[in-house]
Amino acid sequence: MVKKLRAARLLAAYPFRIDAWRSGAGVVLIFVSQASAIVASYGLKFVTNAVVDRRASGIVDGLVVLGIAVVVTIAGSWAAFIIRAGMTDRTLLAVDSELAELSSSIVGVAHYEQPDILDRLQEVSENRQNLAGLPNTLATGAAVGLRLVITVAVLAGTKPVLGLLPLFLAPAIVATLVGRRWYNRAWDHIWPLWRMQLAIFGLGSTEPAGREIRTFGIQREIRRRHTATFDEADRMLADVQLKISLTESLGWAVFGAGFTGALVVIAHSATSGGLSAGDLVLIVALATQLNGQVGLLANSLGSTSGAFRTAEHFAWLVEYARGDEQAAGAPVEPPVGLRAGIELRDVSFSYPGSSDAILEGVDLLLPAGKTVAIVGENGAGKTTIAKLLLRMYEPTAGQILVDGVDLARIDASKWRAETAAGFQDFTRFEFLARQVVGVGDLSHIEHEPSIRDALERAGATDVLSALDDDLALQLGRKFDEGRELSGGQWQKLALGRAMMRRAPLLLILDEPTASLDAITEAQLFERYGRAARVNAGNSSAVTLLVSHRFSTVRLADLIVVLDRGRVVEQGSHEELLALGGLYAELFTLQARAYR
Amino acid sequence: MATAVPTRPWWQADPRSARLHLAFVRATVCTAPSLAALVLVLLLLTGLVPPLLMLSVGRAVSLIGPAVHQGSRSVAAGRLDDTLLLTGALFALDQIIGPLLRAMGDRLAMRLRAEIFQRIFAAEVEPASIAHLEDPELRNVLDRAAAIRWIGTRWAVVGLVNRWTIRLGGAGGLVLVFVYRWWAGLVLLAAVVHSVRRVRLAHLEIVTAQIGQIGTLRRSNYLRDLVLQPGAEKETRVFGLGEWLVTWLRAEWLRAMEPIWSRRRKTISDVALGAVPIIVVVIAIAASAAHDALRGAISLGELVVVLQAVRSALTVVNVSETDTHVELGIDTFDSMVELEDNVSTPRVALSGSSEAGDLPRHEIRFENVSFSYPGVKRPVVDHLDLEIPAGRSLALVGENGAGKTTLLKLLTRLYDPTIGRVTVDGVDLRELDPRAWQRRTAAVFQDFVHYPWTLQDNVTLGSDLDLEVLEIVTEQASLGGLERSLPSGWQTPLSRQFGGVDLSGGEWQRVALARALYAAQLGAGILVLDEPTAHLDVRQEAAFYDRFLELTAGRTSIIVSHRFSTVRRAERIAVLEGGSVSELGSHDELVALGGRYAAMFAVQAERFADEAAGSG
Repeated sequence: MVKKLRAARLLAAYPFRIDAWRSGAGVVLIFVSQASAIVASYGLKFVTNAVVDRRASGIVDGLVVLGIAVVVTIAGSWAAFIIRAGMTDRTLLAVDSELAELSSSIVGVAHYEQPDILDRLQEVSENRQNLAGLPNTLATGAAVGLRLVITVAVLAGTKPVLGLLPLFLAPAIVATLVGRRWYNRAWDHIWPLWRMQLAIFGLGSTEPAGREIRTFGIQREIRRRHTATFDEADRMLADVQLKISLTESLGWAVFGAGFTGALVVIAHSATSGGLSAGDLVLIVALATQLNGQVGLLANSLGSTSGAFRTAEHFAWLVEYARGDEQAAGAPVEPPVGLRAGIELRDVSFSYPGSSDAILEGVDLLLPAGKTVAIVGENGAGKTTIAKLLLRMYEPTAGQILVDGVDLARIDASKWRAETAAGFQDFTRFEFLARQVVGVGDLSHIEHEPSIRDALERAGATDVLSALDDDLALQLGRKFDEGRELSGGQWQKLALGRAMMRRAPLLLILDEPTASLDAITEAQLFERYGRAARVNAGNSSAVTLLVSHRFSTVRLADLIVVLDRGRVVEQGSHEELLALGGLYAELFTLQARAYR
Repeated sequence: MATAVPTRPWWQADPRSARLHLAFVRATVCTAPSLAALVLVLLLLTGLVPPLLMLSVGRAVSLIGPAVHQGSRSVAAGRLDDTLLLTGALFALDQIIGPLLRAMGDRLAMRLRAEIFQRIFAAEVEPASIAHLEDPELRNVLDRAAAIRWIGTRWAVVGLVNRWTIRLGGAGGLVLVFVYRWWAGLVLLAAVVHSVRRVRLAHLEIVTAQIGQIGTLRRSNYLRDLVLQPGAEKETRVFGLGEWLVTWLRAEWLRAMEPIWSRRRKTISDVALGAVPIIVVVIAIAASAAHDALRGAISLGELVVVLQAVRSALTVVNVSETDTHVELGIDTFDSMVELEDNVSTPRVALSGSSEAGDLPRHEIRFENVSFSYPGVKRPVVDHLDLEIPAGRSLALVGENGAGKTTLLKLLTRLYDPTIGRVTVDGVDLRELDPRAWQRRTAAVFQDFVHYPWTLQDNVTLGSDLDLEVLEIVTEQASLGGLERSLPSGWQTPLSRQFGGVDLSGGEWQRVALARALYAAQLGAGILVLDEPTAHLDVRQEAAFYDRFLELTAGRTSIIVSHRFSTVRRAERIAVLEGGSVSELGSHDELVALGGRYAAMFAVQAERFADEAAGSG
């Protein structure tokens, strides 16, 4: 209930917050356009009656009324169109940037990996224009409702029994509303097909899929699957549309019968002298518009419920982000330099909504000024430790202490400002070359010497020469004149990014060299070793390396071996080899290739 | 198109758009002829019924006088009752058509949407080459067509049906005005045409401005997706990019919208000018009819008919978003046609018709081959000569950007060489049917595809199901038993979005390997593996190279890898440098040669050598 109220409040206030002027004007215009339609009907009545009464002045009055109504209708409809369009545009931007702000304000990354949150984000993102139209939708509903009431009042005023006409309208309204519900329910089933269709369609225009579709010769198969989604959706839609249109038509047939009765009643009143010809014209003019009006009403109710759903998701996300903010608690400044190091004390972790423990009771000291390598098989929890240290997730149990201070109490963005990281699943930022690297330290993003220096330290100067030494080049294929790089070249730029911050307290390298060749990799790690020692000299930093490559792992001061979420061995390369445990086994396995 | 529109005289305004409209309507009709016919009939009825309704109301009004005069049991009163019943029936019919037309229009719209999606998809996947996916120039057309995702021809058809519902409704009124006074009809027609055209052109201008900004909007959409979609979240957090990205996003978006908004504001005066004549004409006709009725030139009933008729003609001038949708949808249709024209060129479609049979029986040979991507001067492959013996394995090594992946693309004929030729048993690849040759290959590239399908379909890709082979290849790819850990076994969708599970990177890589092996088992003679172990851990990698000989036995196999564990098992190794082959031979030969390969190997090996010898 509270959730619904929150959504309703958001829904009603949102457009006015974005653009009060346009929202207000839109609402007013809707009432004006509805009123002008009624006024026009009266204009027709005045003219008719004036002719019957043979009053020339009455005709002029009627024409003036009609003329005003016509001008207002046309001007109003265009103005409303312009305003609606402007409003929609602004709402799209507002929702986009608000969602983006919300999403990036959340400290952790769980919301990128949990399907239910992703679904909510997706739905708000896809239906965001619903939030724009709400004042219009509500106003349309209100205005149309009002117009129905006025129409009925006018009818009842001319002849009380005509006040019963709305009863005949009821089946049509009910049919329209029920039909709308059937339609929405059908779409609940069509959406997954639609998403699948878009997923397959997306494969057609991407180059990696383009290669595979051809080399496996699955053109016919993939087109068949693409087409099948349409056929199934069409079948569903055909069924429901048939049902809806028959039901609605039946409802309107009932209204038609009631209307016919009303006409007969009017005619009989007329013959007994109670009604004018003008009344008949007025009533026909009003009644013929009812169909369109009820359609509008149903549409507005339909889109209100759609907007409501969108708003509920939106409100949920706002709440989720806020909860995250509160959980952060009183922030402590990160230390200036490390003295002891970073300690994991009895740290356990499982992903939200899962009971599988990824880490279990990990006790580990990352000593200040040292390079630490974490090894283990896939799924052992190596990357999870990196994520916890960067506060992408919070430990399920236990603590991470930075020189004795609980990391959870340290302001997350300030802590991160003292870190730097390169990942295996690095991002291909399709920016200008200097920005791709420069975002590693926003305060130096336009400072070319820093960028060149970072690239130098990442061993990525060869990428620079492949770019004709032009840091202003657009990279990637998405934008005009973009220069596409190979996977390895992108990776080197990502490494350059990680090198932008000169003296981080913690440098994390999470398999950042997977697509680099052997020589490059070896050179790179030698350079890292040097860089780490330099860092250590300045501010006692920790360099953490996650890797499968024992040729580089062995360079670390401390090697930590993880197995199924637990630390099973730690020590130097020589110590671990002598131990003859898991490390020695994996090392020997890899060494076989070089014997 | 944008600049020419307002200045042209009306009789020759944007012929391209008129032709496009026609093509669009033709495509709609061809997609679902019977449905289209039904919609057409309903549309005609919506045009026909309202004027009949007006006539019968007019007749009823003119009968009221005599009926009142002659009493409720007179002939006139009886006629009045009949007329009212007819009016009621027409009214009911008018009400019923509405829902039917909406429903059928919606279905027709969905069918056309499906048709256009399928045609664009076909244009994307059918050409033998992938030049249209990489060439920046063709890429633009492709992007415009792919915008169908967001713009949607669906609303264009719904909009068209709406538009013609309104227009035909207005046309009926127009006919009645013609019947009243031909000159009034003529003047009204001119006024209607004028204002409809004005309104449409105003729309077209706005839409053109919108389409013109698609490219600019792409950047703000990209920035939004960077923040909202999974993928960049770790780096945007580590480097604190959130606020910076949102600020940029807003700036880009406003920059893209400004021209649209200014264009939109400018249309106000256009539309006002368009509306003035029709307002004047409507009032004038109403006045004239009232005057005629007053002096008895027409009956009261006729006056009522004329008044309703001019009013209904006015509805044509109404505007709504549906008009925008019509114009946007038609532009999508246009870009589809352009795409179809583009991909049917020989550069993309590729020539050749000979059957590939069971080639190669002897060898594949690169003869002095050079290749550069469209729009890039520097050749990626540069005067390359290489012989790949049939039934043997070859490993390609080299630095990033040395041309390894491009060589594979030439081998699988995703491109034809710029210079030189690739031959199979002496036959130029250009002479072979490209599709037939591609089917001879089973290639998994580094960035293999995660199909949103089931585990089984991700391996078989929908080709004939052979459970025995499926078992064999999953075993070979070290995936044996994976299906038992999944909720629905082989039928588990490999995507959480579609009600299944997401696999880890290492598992996905082995699924992709199984995919290639399955195709090879089913008859593809050439196995191409690009970095097949990049996501594997030590044990999984060891399992892969232990099976290497089994996997490649008797198959023409080409493997690209950075890992010597894999590379050294190949019968021959080619070292690529600067787009051509610098060393070629077996592992032992190349190590003995003491060149580039030997150096690369030594760097890795020396880190293992001492202890490995000591502990082993």
